[in-house]
Amino acid sequence: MHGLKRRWSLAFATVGVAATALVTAAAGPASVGTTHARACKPYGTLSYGIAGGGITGLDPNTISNAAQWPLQSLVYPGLVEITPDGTVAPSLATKWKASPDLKTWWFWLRRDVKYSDGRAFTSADAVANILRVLDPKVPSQARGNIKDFRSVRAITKYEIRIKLGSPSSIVPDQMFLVRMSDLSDVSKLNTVGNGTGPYKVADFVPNQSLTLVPNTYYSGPNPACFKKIAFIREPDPTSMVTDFTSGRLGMIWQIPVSSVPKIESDKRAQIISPKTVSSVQAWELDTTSPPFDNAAARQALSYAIDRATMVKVAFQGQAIPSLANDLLSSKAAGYDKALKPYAFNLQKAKQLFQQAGVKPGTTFTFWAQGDKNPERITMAEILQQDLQKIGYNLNIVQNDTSTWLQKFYPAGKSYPGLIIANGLSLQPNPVLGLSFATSGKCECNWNNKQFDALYFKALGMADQGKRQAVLNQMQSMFSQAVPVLAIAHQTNILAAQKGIVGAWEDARGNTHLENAHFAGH
Amino acid sequence: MSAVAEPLRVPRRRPRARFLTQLLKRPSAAIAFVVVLAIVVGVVGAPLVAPYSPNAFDFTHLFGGPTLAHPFGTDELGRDLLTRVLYGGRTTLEIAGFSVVLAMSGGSLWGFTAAYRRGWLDELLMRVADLTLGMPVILLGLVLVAAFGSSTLSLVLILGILFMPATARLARAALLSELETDYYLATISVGTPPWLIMLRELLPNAAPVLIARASVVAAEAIFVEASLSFVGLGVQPPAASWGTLLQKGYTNLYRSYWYPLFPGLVILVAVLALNTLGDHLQRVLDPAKR
Amino acid sequence: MRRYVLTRLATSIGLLFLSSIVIFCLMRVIPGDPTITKLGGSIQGVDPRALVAIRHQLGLDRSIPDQYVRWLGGIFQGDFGRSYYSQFPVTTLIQERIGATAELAIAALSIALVIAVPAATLGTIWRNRVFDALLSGFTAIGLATPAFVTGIVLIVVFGVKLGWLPTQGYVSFSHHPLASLKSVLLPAITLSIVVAAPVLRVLRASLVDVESASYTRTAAGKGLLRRQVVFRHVLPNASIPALTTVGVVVGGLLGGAVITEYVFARPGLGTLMVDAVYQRDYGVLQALVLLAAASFILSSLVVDLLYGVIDPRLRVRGAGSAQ
Repeated sequence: MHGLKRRWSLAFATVGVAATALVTAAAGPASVGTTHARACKPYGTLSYGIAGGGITGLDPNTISNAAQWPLQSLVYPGLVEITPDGTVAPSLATKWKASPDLKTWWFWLRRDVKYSDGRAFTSADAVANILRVLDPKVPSQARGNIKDFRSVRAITKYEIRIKLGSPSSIVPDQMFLVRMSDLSDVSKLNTVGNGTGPYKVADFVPNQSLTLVPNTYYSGPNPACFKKIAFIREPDPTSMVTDFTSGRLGMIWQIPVSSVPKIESDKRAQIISPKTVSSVQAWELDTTSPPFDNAAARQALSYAIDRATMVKVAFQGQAIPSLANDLLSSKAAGYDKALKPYAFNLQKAKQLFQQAGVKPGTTFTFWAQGDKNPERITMAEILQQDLQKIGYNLNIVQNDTSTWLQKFYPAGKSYPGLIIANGLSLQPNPVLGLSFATSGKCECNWNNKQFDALYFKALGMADQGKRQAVLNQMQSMFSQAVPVLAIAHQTNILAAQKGIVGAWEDARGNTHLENAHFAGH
Repeated sequence: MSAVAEPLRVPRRRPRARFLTQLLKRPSAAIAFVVVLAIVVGVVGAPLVAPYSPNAFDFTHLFGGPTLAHPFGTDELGRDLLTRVLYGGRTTLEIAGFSVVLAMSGGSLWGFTAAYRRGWLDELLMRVADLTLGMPVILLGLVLVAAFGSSTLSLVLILGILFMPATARLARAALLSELETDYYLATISVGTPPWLIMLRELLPNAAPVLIARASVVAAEAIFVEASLSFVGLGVQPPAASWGTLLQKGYTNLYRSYWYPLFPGLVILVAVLALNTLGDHLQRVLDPAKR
Repeated sequence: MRRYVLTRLATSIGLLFLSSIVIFCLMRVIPGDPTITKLGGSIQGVDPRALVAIRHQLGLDRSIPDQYVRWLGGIFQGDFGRSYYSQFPVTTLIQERIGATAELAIAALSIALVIAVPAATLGTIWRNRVFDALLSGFTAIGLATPAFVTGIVLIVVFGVKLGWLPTQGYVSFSHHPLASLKSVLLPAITLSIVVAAPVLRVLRASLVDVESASYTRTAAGKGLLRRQVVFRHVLPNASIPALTTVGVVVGGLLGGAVITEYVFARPGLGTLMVDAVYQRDYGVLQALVLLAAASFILSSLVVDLLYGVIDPRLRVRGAGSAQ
């Protein structure tokens, strides 16, 4: 137990340093104290269960499966890392600074970093990775954040300079999705993992299993504490919970809500909750085709959704209802407390539908995945019955993931009358979180120029108070226009055996194991 | 020889006479028959029998265990599971029933054509049947559900098509053995047109095997429907089938052990009864096996 | 006989082509494609240019006939292509997984035969009502339980409650024989029930048929012991109709393996196949379907030939054996 306490306090110390770094960064040159390396002798195997599909690829900048996220901090650190409270902390970059106009940024890199094959990591590698993410032909999850980068240069072996098209005060936050991989052979990015993290890939069978072992060349602050981390694919969430309760798995992720009471009652196990939540159960609508091209029809639907009941029944209370239809959770940084909630009101819904010319008897289609997220179907069944009370029909359709995606993804597709059940893992930084509704990103096709302009305005504001005013404007626009129906803020549920300490979940619902170890080792 | 004046009549055979009495003489067949009958009556009469409305939510009784008020417990929205199982049976039996009709008619046509025409067509038709039989049913099911969706209608079509090849083989074998009988040769020799023989004599005589097969196909249809539901591609809410109820129960296993138990048991009992009935039907209806 | 074998071979190869064309087209007609499935899970606001680039790289921008010809051409050069999803070569993926499936199939088939053959024979020798009832009870329940239900029950009882056997995963036999057998036991039992029940049923029925045949009665009349009659006359003759079910059994093994592997998270070809369908991984699925069709055609061809060897009458009748 002593070991546990000590490690936690260390982890918080790191966070504290990070927060300082962020504040000073916006103001000008920042210097961050050296992070103390923990002493750790690798011990034991951590078995980490994933339900449904396994890990399918290794390229950290073109994620193809959510199960891949834990590898980001274990194998492929970026210049910055995310912290439990949703801010960013130094990682491969030790410090950064911005020009006064916030249009040029410099990052300084750590000097002792090596890839797991022994090659040194330098500014050339950092630049190559950022440029690859910027390549429009590379489908990267990080591109949306840094699209506005105009030039990326290596100034010295350990310094890079980034020039932006328009000012931004949060370039480090924008950078955290960009991971540092080895680009010497791009064709092997998905099959051979070579990064600079505390662990390296020992064995990989796509869709099935992945084994990590300590990276002997690692010299950073989070050395590997496990001899082995095995990511094991389980056929379905129920059997995953079964293998966890019987002790075969040390940790499990994406646990069904209905299994939480069982795990909570288990003395040897614990649920690990994130400090803040930035992911949201969202129902997307096509705002360019009838009936949902009319804002009144979207508002009608928002009034017809009994968010409180849905949270109580479908999530068994383990979610924060998005009463005001906001992408940000009411408990997250940047939330506009003045937003007016959509009180559940079927009569108002009916009236707004009629105002929008949507006649009673109209049938909407709830388009969902069949093989996962049973809560979404439960929510849909509640809506189905409520809509029926005012004379509208909801046709629930469950599909396999490919069929489901085909209808609405990527942004720009027309899907009249469909309500797409989706879950969005938004970034914890409120500006970046709200950026989901900007043009070309949201499958709702809202493409609102005014909203886009507000986003860039918020991005360029260093002053917290002024930025919050713009954020409030964005949220109230979103809340009133309802381009997406935000139902509840809820994230992947993570559980661990009590003997495992130091693991945590970030606001987006992804697991972090870089500080995890067996208690006493 | 007076037969010259008056056309020769070959007497029809009636192997199916009073088969029901014969069937019910067998104890396990009688039990199976009663079970199937009870399920069909309960399910068809669901609106009269069921204690609740199938879609009545009760948020105060989520995941309830069995009680006097809810003998099978309640589900994730507090709906009565006995009621859901009864109404779900309607969907299941509807899918099983129609897919059996489709599989039997399509498969018989397939098999009869092969048996009657022989030659290369026979070879081709049977090899196609073999090949389809060799493919995992569940895999074809997944592909077809992705292609046509999982409405009741498309599930009927998919299951019907999936069970055709096995039926085709059986139908072909049954007709072939009929074609070799002296009886058939006699009919042919008196000059009755082949299509008339086919319709009036051969089909009714090959039918027993197919009827017995139908009950087995119904059991398999319930099975495959359950398997497809198990991977999340069954019928859509608020409708339910036994398969989707079992799947939802399994998903919520750690909230309520009772939830999957009853739908699972109902599937087991129904399939068991149908298979047993099929076995006995075959023995009773097929003169060679009696 | 030779002509018959040649015809069979020719039709088989023709059908192999046909099935590859059917699955090739079918996969491309159903909604969804590998690029969208791959990106859609995690990437918001993907640039349309990226989609175009990937589709071009995978050759998905070509016409379907063109894609088919290229794929077939590759196969003739021993290149089965790459997964459209994970980018591993298809042959690597199959090699990694074929062991798990082969082990499961062999173990399940062995268990099934070890159960079915003695059970059916004993039933015939003993003519014991209780044993008979037990047998038909087992068969009926075996036929009435979906593999996933059997699997889950076994997992809960032997894996979780008793903790005797692992419930998931796979250890290769060459790597660790004992652990490998332990890991295959529960899935093999699950699958063997799927296979044993129909074999038992057919064997039992044909044993009864043969036993009542005139030559059996003659043999019994000659004063042979009941046991001798069963082993010398009844069993060999009854195995002929049972052989015809081998096709069905192989189909059942494959189909059952898909579900069994799924339930036990066994990294075999069945899981690979289901993933390929879900991920629209055309490259992998095409190769697997071709493999399944080829092995099925081969096994039924072998069975047909064996059939001719065992039953001399069929050698004379030639094509009549295609029943």
